[in-house]
Amino acid sequence: MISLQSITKEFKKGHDMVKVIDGIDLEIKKGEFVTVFGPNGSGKTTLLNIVAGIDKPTAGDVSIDNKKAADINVGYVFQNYNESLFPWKTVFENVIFPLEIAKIGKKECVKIGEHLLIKVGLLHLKDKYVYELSGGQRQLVSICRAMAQKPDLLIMDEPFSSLDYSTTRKMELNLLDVWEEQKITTLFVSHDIDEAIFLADRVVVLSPLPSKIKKIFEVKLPRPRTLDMLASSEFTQLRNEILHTFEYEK
Amino acid sequence: MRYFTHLSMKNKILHYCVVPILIVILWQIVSYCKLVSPLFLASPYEVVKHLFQNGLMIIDLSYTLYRVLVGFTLAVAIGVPVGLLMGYSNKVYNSMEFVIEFFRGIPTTALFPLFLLIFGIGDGAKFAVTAWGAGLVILVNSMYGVHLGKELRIRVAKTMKISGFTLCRKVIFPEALPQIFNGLRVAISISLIIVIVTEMFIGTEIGLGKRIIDAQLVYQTADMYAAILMTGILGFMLNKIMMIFEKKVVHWKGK
Repeated sequence: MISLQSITKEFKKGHDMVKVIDGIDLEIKKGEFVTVFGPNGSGKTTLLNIVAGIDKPTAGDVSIDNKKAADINVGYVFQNYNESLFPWKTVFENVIFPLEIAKIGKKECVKIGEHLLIKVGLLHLKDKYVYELSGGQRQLVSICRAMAQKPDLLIMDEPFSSLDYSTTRKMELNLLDVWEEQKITTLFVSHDIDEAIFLADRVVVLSPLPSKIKKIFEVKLPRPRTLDMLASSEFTQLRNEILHTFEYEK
Repeated sequence: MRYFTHLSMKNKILHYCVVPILIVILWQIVSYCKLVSPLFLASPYEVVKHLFQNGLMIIDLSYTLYRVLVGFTLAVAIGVPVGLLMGYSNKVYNSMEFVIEFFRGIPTTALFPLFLLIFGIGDGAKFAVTAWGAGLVILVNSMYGVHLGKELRIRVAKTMKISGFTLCRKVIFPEALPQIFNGLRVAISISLIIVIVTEMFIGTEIGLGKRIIDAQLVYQTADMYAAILMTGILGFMLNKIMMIFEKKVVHWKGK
């Protein structure tokens, strides 16, 4: 279980301290898929960086099964796949990079890497360079890379927001497919309400700055999720509730 | 793809050749009609004859090339690691920046007499001054390579808990490579310039620079032009080889 205990973050801006995150408490169960939905500039990326141990909170604590944040093994998928993948490496080399760093044997690397690439349907491109792939395919490569080391936590920061509608939906199905097999605890930030509901077990709605949790919604749609659920009455009702909270509730 | 069809390829070669051919024709006309005294301008035929007839030219060429390569290699060996270190560590950057900027302001050739004093009049001084001039360019470009590298890739590496030497070797160095190659391409041309100039100066009997200056002193104009032409071909080839090498190594550049 991953727990965030009253995370607060302040930045210095000129002479003033600006509070970006104001006491966030959240517990994520093992194998759970949690999405964070909030307005732009609400400190979502800062929150993710704190959870990933890249950034330190001003106050509060992150822990996973009593391990400290710095020791948590995270897989991080960034929005900007072009600048997060390694263009000098092939698709396959990118995927197994974290394994290589962890000094895992070649045979095991090949097994894990090829399995993930089969799962997302990119095995035939394994020896291509990433700049030879389409945007969606590139992001799938970075998802595979983040999952290769079986992280304690998979963090995704608006990974599909630069893709078009149909590619995004396809990618979500792809993602869920791998996720259901690997059962990796996932924290996913989105500003697309449909995406936030479709993927999640729970949706966390954030307030504008300084970020606080407004409300947490449980998504009771069965898994595996299918695209027709996007039009179901359950989905629409939840969507309305979330939007109402987002717009009107203080 | 259209540019690679047979017809366009032919066209491209034609475009490539037309101006050089015109220049040679013009040159031939000028020298044939003696518009310029033959003392200053030899005919193209004479020059080419000197290029091939005189067996010693190839020795001059190989010596010049040897000096360029040794100087350039030293420059890479020193410039790349120091540049990377300066790019990576703010401490090193802050303590070196002024010195580097200051030395960059001194034309390398102005230092040649000093290098002669230190290294003697043999090849040592030539290697050193070439390495100096080319090395500074490589160093500065390697440093910028690190500075211009994408912040996000470093963050990616940090999420994977990579740090220290592994981070440098696996992420920062390849990330800086495109810019390093920009430096290498400029540096190889600078190396040739410096070697030619120093050969004209003192301390050698062999080398294209020496040959050019000697031919000029005794008005062997055809031989002088031939040596200049040979130097031009050498410079062109070095640059081309560098570009092919660059395309192979940093295949992702601009993509």
